[in-house]
Amino acid sequence: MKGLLIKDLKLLKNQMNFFLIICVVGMMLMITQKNPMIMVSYSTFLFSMFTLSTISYDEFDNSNAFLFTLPITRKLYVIEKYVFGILTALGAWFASTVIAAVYTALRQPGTNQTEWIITAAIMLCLPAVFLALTIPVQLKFGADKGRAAMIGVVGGIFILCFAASYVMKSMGINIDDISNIITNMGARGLAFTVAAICIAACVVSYFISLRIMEKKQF
Amino acid sequence: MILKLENVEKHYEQFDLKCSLELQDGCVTGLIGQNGAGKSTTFKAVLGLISIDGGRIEVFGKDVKELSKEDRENIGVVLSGSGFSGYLTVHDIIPILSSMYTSFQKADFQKRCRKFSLPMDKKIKDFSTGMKAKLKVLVAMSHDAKLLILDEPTAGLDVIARDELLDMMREYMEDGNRSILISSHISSDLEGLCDDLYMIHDGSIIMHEDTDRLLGDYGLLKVTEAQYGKLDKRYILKRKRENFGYSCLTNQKQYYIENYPGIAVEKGNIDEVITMMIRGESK
Repeated sequence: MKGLLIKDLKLLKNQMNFFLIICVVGMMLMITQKNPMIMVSYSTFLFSMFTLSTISYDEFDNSNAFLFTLPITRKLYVIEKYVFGILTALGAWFASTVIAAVYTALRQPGTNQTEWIITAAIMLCLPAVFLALTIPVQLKFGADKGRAAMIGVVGGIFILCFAASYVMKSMGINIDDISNIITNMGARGLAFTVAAICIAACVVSYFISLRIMEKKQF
Repeated sequence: MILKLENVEKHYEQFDLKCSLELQDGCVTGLIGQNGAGKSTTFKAVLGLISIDGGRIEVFGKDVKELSKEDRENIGVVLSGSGFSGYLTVHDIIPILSSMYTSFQKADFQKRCRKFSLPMDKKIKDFSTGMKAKLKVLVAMSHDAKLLILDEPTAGLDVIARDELLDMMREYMEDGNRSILISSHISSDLEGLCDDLYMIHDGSIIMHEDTDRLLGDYGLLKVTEAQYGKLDKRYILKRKRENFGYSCLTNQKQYYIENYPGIAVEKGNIDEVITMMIRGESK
């Protein structure tokens, strides 16, 4: 695992300029919009995308074949991609939250720090769901076809949501009731539910990715 | 036995591999054949990069699917057309190899990279073909592996670099406890390095012979039609029609030298044996 993580970190060096752009744009958004949340969610989400770049780099020039002759298993490779995604998202979230907290303390002294930091924590579910959705697609279809496949997946999710709401409506279930349940959960209940959904999404996604990698021929 | 392929089968739409092969401890075994003959497919099957449709592959006496991390550390690999991501530099891959291989010899690896003038901070994708080939071999030899699996390791190298790498491989074998399975389309590379050779054609092994015997006992008989008619054909493997009559491949050159003093007998070499085995017709 350590070797793979080092490899991905070394590959990330190639994206240094993109890193800097994300940081600058994130800070500009925070300053112009006077909203620390924007920078936290923006940079956390974009940093999590680097995991997908590392998969593309691994595939460059058929490097994957050689990679799997090293003392690693396909299972370890898949686990490492999720770990790397979580680490980059957490790292970006932590750094941006610290910067945003300092900014808020200096520029908006009256702001309740705890409140927005809790909301920022919930923002971590965004990259989790994003990675859960995109890692299997990227592993299955690769960088080029992956983009087209991703559009299909997102479209599919919309259709699924639309179909689900239609079915619920026809069964006499009111969507507003569900909204009320969510509202009545309270911050803690909502946070737990969101965390559970994220973990479940990542676990399901991991097993799909593993299956994809185990079937892959190089 | 360090490596054994037993009736390994892999079926593609337009190609079928059916291969049995053995690599003994302390030996260098060569796999030769034309492009598309099945060399790379065989290597990929050995390394578990492709699934097989039949047969069995054993490495270090274990089924290839059951190899542990330690076992895999004992395999050094060169693949034609694949290596570390081109976006990494030599500097980048050193800590990766250090983390993955407990026996990675960092100082030695760096020394050899310098010896072969490999730039440490240049992205691998910007290396010349020769540089990439050298790096792949150096990586394969950097962690004291017991088994080297080298698919076309000298492709793209000039004569001098090729000789240097072949010398390194011979030096690597001096340990006595190591083995190499190597493929190359440059037969002279294999002549001077391999203990035995497998010839693969259309996915099947068509010949297996000790290199010494191949170079010593195999030969080409150049005969007229009349001479061919009178020839004892017991030791003729293949024949090919020529302007003057026939070229015949034999594995008992000495027999014909002694018994047919009038015919021309040429010393065998790998290229001619391959050509005859593939192009020649049965006697």
